[in-house]
Amino acid sequence: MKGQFKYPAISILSISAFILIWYLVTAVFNLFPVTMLPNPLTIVQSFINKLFSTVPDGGTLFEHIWASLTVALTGYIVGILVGLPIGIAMAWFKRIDYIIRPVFDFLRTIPGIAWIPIFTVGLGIGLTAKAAIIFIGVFVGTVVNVYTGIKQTNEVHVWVAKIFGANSFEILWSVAIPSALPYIFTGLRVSFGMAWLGLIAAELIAAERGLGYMIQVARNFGRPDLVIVGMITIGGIGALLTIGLEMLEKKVVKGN
Amino acid sequence: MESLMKKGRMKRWVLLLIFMMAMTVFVGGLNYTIAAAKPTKIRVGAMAYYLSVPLQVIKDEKLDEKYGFELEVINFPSGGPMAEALGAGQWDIGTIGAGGMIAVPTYNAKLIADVEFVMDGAWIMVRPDSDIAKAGSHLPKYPEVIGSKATLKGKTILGTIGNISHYMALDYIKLFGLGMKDVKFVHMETSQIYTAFIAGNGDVACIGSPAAGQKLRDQGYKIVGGLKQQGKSQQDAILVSDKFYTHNYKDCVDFMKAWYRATDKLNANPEYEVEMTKKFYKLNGRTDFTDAGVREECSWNSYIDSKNAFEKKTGVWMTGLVKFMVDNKTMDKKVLDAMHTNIKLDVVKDAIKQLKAEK
Repeated sequence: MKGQFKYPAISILSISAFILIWYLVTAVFNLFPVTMLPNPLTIVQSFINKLFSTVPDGGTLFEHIWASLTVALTGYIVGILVGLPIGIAMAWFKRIDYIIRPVFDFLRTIPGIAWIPIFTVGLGIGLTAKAAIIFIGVFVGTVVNVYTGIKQTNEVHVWVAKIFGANSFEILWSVAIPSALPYIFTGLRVSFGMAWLGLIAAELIAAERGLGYMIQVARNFGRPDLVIVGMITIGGIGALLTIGLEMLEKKVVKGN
Repeated sequence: MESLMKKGRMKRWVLLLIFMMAMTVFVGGLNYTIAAAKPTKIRVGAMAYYLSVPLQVIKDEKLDEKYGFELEVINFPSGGPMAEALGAGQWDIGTIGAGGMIAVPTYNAKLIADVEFVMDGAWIMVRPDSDIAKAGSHLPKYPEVIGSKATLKGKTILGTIGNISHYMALDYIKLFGLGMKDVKFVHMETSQIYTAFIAGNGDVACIGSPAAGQKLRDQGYKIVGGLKQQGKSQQDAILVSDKFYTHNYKDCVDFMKAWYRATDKLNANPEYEVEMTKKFYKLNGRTDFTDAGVREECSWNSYIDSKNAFEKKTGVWMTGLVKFMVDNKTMDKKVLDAMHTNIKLDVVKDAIKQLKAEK
């Protein structure tokens, strides 16, 4: 088998094996009750139904996907826009690092879900509060990776730039940031994972649409099939967007 | 000579083997006798609310010992996780509210009895300056229900989908000829509704917990609806897992005998009811109640006991709840059929019969 087809073939085989085992334990050997783990065919049927049906949560699958994407991308974009300059500033300017780092190190360990009561009171129950939960995870992931990337700048490159008379800002812009791009993109990818993972927590605040909300309502109505449809959709969209980010990285980062 | 010795040795071995086998049978039999004498442990699912208070009486009065079982209480924060735990086989008998509408049809649990005879405390509340409160009463049949179609339309309602607050909200807006599409129903976990509402979010809050409702009312918020106010009864239920009902029927009857002895005692003495309720709440980690609040809650509610057990039809509230969800296209129709099939009245009948024979 040619190398370029080997990896996709292995991936397809492993996914097929997983689905086959799932089918065997649920539909053939009945090791799990339907109320606990429905078989894959039921999930496919529920998935197709949910594309058009609003039962039991009041929304179709596309409406939930759109609502979740709005929340996740809002929190993600704001998190990146704030995290990038702060990460760069912390890594490049020691004074800023000394000021921000103690607070940052304290805040980074608090999980997004713990912020729910504070955000509910302070930011309400709308998009702002939900995006804020996502923002926390994205901000931390971005700052950590950008900080590490800038700190890894090759000192020889810095010396050369200094010899040619570049000032601190010029060295940062022309040397440090370009050399940190792989780290920055890793940060964007990791942060995106965090944004998507925080979705359920964000929609715990309050929701009337969204994949996390759909899972919660399905749980309340004893519908494990819809819980799994929600999980698969979250996983699928997360994977697609991650692939998109990887493609962007390949285009932007030189030498990759 | 040698063969005789060999035979003797063989004899000893055979005797030893017979002795060991006899001992095994004896010890096994002894164990069986001990096991048979040991009372069945019943794992009872409960919540730290009024519906589970009789369990404290069963414990304190040793009614479990009296009726030959061992009570093990397993606490849950709400009906949703409790229903899921039933599906995972984590409890045998339990006291549950709206979560029962999932547990009965989905996990094939049997609804054997209702808990309360009368009940109040699940309310719909608005801010004092809300136009809904100012609209006053317009429904002659339900004078305590406040609001109007015009003031309700487009409002944001905070509640939990799939529990009592969802049902209450749907019924409330329906009284004014409105549907879910006419309002914005925002799903929140029960514990967060109170926090969000006092922080200024939403226009209407559906509060299923009496303690939170009382707190809001005492802060000046207005009650504009509620199950009792809307002419709907509210009853929690006693469920039994399918497995326990099939294999431990006698234990189900014994449990119900102890349960009715407890509710007889609670209904007979209001002061005792208040004290036991406070004790149960405290022992189960509740910190949100006050003496006055519990007194008020006990004054609204009473249990079904051995004397009034047949005065009301069992499972009417839970079936009505499911029917309402089916009519609103929130649940599938087959759920309602499963609900009807799984209401079993034999346990209560046998328990009451045996209690009467005791007297």
